[in-house]
Amino acid sequence: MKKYWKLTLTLTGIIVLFITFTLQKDRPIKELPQYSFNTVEGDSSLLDDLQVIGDTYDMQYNTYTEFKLTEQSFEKFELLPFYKQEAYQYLPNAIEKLKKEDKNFMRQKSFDDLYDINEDYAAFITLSFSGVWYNYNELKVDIKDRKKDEYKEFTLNVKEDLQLNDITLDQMLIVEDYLYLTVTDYNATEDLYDEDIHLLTIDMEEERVIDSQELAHISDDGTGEENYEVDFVHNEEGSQAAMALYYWGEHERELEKVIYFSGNNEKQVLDVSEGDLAAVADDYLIFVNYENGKSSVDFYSLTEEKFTEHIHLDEYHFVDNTVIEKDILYFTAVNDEIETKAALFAYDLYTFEPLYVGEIVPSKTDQRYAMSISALEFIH
Amino acid sequence: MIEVKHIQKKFGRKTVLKDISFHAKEGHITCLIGINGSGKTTILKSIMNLMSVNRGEILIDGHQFTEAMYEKVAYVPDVLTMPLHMKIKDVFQFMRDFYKSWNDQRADELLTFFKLDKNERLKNLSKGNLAKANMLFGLALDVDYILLDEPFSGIDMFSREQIANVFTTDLVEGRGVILTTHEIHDIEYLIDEVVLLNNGFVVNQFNVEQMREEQGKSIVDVMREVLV
Amino acid sequence: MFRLLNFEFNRIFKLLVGLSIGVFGIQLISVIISTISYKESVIESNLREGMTLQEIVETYGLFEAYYITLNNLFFLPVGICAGVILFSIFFIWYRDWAGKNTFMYRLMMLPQSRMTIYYAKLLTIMITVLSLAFIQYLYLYIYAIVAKLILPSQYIGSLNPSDMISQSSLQVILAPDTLLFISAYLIGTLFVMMMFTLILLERSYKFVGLLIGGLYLFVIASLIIGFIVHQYIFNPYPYFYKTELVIIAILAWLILTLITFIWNRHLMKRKITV
Repeated sequence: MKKYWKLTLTLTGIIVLFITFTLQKDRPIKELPQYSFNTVEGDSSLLDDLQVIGDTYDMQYNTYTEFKLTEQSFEKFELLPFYKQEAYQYLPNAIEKLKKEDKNFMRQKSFDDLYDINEDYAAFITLSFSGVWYNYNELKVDIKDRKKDEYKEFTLNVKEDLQLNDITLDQMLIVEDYLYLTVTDYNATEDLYDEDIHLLTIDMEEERVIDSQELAHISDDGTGEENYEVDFVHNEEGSQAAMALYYWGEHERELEKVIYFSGNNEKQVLDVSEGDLAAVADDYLIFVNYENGKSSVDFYSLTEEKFTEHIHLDEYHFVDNTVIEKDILYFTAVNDEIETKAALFAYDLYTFEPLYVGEIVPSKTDQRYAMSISALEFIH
Repeated sequence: MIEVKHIQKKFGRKTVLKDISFHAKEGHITCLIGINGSGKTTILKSIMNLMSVNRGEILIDGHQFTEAMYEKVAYVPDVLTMPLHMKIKDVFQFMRDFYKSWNDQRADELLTFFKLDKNERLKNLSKGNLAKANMLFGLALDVDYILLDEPFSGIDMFSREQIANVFTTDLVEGRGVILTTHEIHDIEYLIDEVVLLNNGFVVNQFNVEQMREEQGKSIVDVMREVLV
Repeated sequence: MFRLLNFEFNRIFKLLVGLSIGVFGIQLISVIISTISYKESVIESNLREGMTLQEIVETYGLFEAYYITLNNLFFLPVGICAGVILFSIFFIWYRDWAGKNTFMYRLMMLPQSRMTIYYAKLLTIMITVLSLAFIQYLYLYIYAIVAKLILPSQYIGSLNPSDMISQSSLQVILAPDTLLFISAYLIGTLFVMMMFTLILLERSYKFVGLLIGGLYLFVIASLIIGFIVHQYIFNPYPYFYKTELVIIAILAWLILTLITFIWNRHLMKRKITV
């Protein structure tokens, strides 16, 4: 045995250290708290297909991970094996679904690109440069007709087809056969700096731009103190949608314009100037408001063209992650500004009565752990 | 019996062994004689399966070579086969670990015979002692055949004498020996069989005793006839 | 088998010990430099300027795992080890042919399968590599202690070795994902086997063998590099999904390992000479 001591010692060392390494390597992530639902009132079967995506953060040691919470399970992204981490975070459910449905269409597409998916179509838009000197940019539009299971792609030249100069992409949305896209167009000369936000309407059947409308104009020295932000929402089927244009002044966001899209490329500008656009459902546009320390969810009736219903929250603030599933509105809110505890609500869209109120509670209540929720999703 | 049948060996375009056939019996000392570069070492390596041949076959007691044959045939090349930093007793341990046929008692006898020190490192040995040690590592194996490549070249007279003497003791006797040499003067009296090589062919294989009795010729006489 | 492995390993053990000590020495200096310069430039200079302890921590953060490997000197010995390992892949074979003694005679005349020699040498290299990787891991614990000795405890954040690895290039040798870790060393083993092919070819066919081996490695390397370039360089996102890439990698590894192994075995058993 004596003559084997070097090899024996080395092999033992390797095995012991490998085990230690394997057990220790995820410790910082494992130490981050787990989360679970705590039903306060209502029927917890409403959570059956729901998954909550959020992140948890250790402020003292700078460790961070995304997590996925369902009624039955809890997992941390950083603990998944590497081949399950397709991107640096959980992919949106729509992308995951489309990947399962059609792997080839989703190749080399990323959720960093602009995309939208409804019942009939999936569309991706990328901005690329072409030409000998890479001097003019093009929009590449990838479309999948989900009903016919057909792909197509076409390019639109920014200068010739869009009559714009130098753009960046903002947001996009599809409603029936139409694709809506907002872009920021830059025109800079020595003493002039112009930014225009345009809403483009692209007919996906005819593969061309049928409308271009200027939403806002910024003319300053380019310091970016003035800014606009666009947000799109659509219903589950993708037959109705709405767009909100916000103006960022100093520290404050103001709702400047709301456009409602129904089928057949019909656009209607609505007279709303308060709140944040959150969702659209049949007869209502849903806004959230936060004023004087109170949060509310407000329902704008599309038939009556005014706010008709309100849900007021007392203990919780900052309504976010609104999602509608089977005529029930789900959303989250937090109990204080540190966001150590979040709550999940479900409201009936006919009666506006609460169906479910629950908390998302951490397994550790230490002040150094922070949590925030980034999405509510339904898995089908 | 070791039988070499029609072997051919090429190195690149050069055919070193063209058609070699001979046999070596157990209990006999067979000597491969040829000028430098006549392929003596190549034949020994081929027998030991240290080199593949292009054609022909080699049988040991009627069997093809397998790895287990290394317990049956030992080869002492003209260079040392153990790392220089090792002590002689380390080599003994190594051989004991790997060979069933290693004979400790015989190793010790040979050590005494060659007047070598067990605790000496190989790198501190003189050239003659190194050759003796190298031979010892082969002879101490309980094998039926021993192949020796130029056991007498490049060493001093007294060492040569000592090595030659070992062939007449029971440390070697009874086993089959194949040795190569390019000059046979001092060892002529040891040899039973001679295989004369030239230009890649076996020119003659004969029994020394028989040759002397029947034709009255010594090895050198035959060599002169054939090679000059 | 185990005996020959033990024999080969004992022959390389001194080198392993030497490297381990060298790595520790140089990295210790690097860690001490990083820590002292943090103490000097962040803590003491700001205290002189009248900042409070609390303010310093708020402005600059705590001294964390990241700082341990910050100095480039830290990775110098890792690079040296890689070079020495690459050298020893060749050395472990050629030393048995070179010099006044030709140990290869003895090795090839051992009454056991020729492949035992091959396995012993391959395993010796792999054990040496793994030893160095894990001893690096062990050292990280020591560096954490060293930093704690130099700096006041109020400034010390998390000095978890796992963080030192995941926040630096050390993750190349100690991949935090178990599957990646195992893959890395399996690919490493394949690399060593391919180098062995080159050596065995040279030993069997001399210069011609070297040429064939070089060509073989060149073709394989071009295919792999070409694939990586195609996947990552010209495209914003790789064409294949990660799950598919894993399958491709496993298949490629299996095929190459099989080819290399069968070739090496043929060379070991039939072609190499002394």
